[in-house]
Amino acid sequence: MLSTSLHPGAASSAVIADLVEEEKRSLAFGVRRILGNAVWVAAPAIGGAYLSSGGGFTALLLSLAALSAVGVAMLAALVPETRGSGLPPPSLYSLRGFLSKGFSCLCLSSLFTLLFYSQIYTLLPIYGREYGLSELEVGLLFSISGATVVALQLPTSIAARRASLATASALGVAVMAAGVCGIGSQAASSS
Amino acid sequence: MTIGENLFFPSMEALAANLAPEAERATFLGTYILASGVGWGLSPLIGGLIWDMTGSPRAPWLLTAPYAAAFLTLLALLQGYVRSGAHSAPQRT
Repeated sequence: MLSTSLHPGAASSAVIADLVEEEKRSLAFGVRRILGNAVWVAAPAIGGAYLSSGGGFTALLLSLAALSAVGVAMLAALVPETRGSGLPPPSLYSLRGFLSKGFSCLCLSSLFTLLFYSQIYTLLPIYGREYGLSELEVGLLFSISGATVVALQLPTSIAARRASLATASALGVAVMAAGVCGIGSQAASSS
Repeated sequence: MTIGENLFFPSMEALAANLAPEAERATFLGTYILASGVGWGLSPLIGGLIWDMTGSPRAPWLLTAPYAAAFLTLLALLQGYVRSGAHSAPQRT
């Protein structure tokens, strides 16, 4: 339920950034990832078990709508308004901030990273079929990934607090790139 | 790889939040999420094209290295701007 209201997006990220002091923001964003991935891992199993036990699609979708409504009610009741009343409204003036070199570098670096990394979620299932993995095995890989986030996000975030955010990001990209290159090398040795 | 994600995603989002002026934090974070989404969106197209054009399933994966190098270069530039104090968005008066 909470994951619905905590889904990564500009408003929820800004609320978290408003509520949490600067040096703890990375940890807070990490905690949100745990909730999101816990739901990601559990929800298909719960839905599948419900349908397997004879439940129908309509009842399932209606209960999801009800759960979402509870999430919205909790958001309204429990999360305070964080935008300061004295702050000026956003305007096109912000464009100058977007064009600042630091922020542009940040956006582009994220773009380049996801250009290679999100292939995991799209090409990996095709690649898996090519090299003899079954649908179940490919599905298990994604489930294990979600479970790994739930199990290890908090320890990783706590350990990463000793490093700067840029160092932690660079280390993360190095690990991700090594993994993706490893998949390519595996393909090379299998072919 | 998932541990790499655990390091990367929260740290980058915190960097974006820290670079944004308070009054425009949501807009900046939205822009950061948009840039990330462009990467997510283009990746399958580029990966598929590379796979089909080269005929090699390993090619899209092995081309990770230049992307990662681009990331590290941009991150180093960002660090330079942060150290020089030139990262802050102009504040309205």
